[in-house]
Amino acid sequence: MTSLWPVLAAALLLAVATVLGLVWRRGQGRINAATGNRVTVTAVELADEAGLHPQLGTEATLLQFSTEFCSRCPGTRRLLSSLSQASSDYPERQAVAHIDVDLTNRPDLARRFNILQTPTTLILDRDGVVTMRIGGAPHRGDVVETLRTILKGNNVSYNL
Amino acid sequence: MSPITSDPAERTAPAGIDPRSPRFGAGITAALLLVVVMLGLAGAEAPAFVLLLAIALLFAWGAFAGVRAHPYGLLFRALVRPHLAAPTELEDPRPPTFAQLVGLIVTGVGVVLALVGLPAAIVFAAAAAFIAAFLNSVFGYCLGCELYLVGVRLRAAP
Repeated sequence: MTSLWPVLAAALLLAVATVLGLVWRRGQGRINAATGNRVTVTAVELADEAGLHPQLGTEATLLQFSTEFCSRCPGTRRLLSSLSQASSDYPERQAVAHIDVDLTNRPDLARRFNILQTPTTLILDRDGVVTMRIGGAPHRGDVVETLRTILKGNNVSYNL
Repeated sequence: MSPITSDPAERTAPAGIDPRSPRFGAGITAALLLVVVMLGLAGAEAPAFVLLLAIALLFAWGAFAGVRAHPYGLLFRALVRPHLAAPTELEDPRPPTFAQLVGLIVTGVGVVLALVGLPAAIVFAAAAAFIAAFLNSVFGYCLGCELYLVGVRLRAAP
């Protein structure tokens, strides 16, 4: 028995790690409705040191928070910006805008929006109100469906 | 650098690596760390210490020479990559390199504590590092990425 228990302990450790991984993966990319106080984001508060700020979308905005040390942020950026581009009929103002914020330069925003993992994506409505929150890399189909619902509510349609 | 760009990482990102390479390496590391745990629990303290030290040195290699130059990266390119399809996308090498540093710190603490007369630290450090390496290899979880974010948030503390 003395020779067996280290193996059992290792098996237990493996099982614990597997459960942790499954729980973590299940929550990744899930789109949750915003809870708590109504939070409104303005383009101006996203301005850089030079005072330049991005434009929010006329119908919705995908506000992504990233850092340089984030393995899934580049893929999320490509996904969300492709959805944004599919919704633009005129370049200066997009129906669905995608904004990617590097939290390394804006730790204040990490605290303000309580960002606990990267990427985290907030979906803002046409007034900049945070309506949805996605922790981890989003799934394309889910984001498309959510955007379609928002756009339908606004009586506009895009071939996302 | 301006605080916000449409693509903050891509402007400065070094050439990408195959994302499967660090996960392959993390799998080897996880297996070795599990061996350390078993050796430590079985009372084989000297072999457990030597193996943990070797793993810590391999983490140091990845952290300071970069993941591209890591032996597991070379192993991946020589033995595994030829049997796989081309990667669908390349990954920034900085997150896995940072993860190597995190691994070095965790296993390094175990090694140092064992040296100053706390041999139980070998098992605890190996178990902690195992969970991170296993989650990275099997699930693609990136502990270093989350720790970096914690650092960013601490910096913003009022």
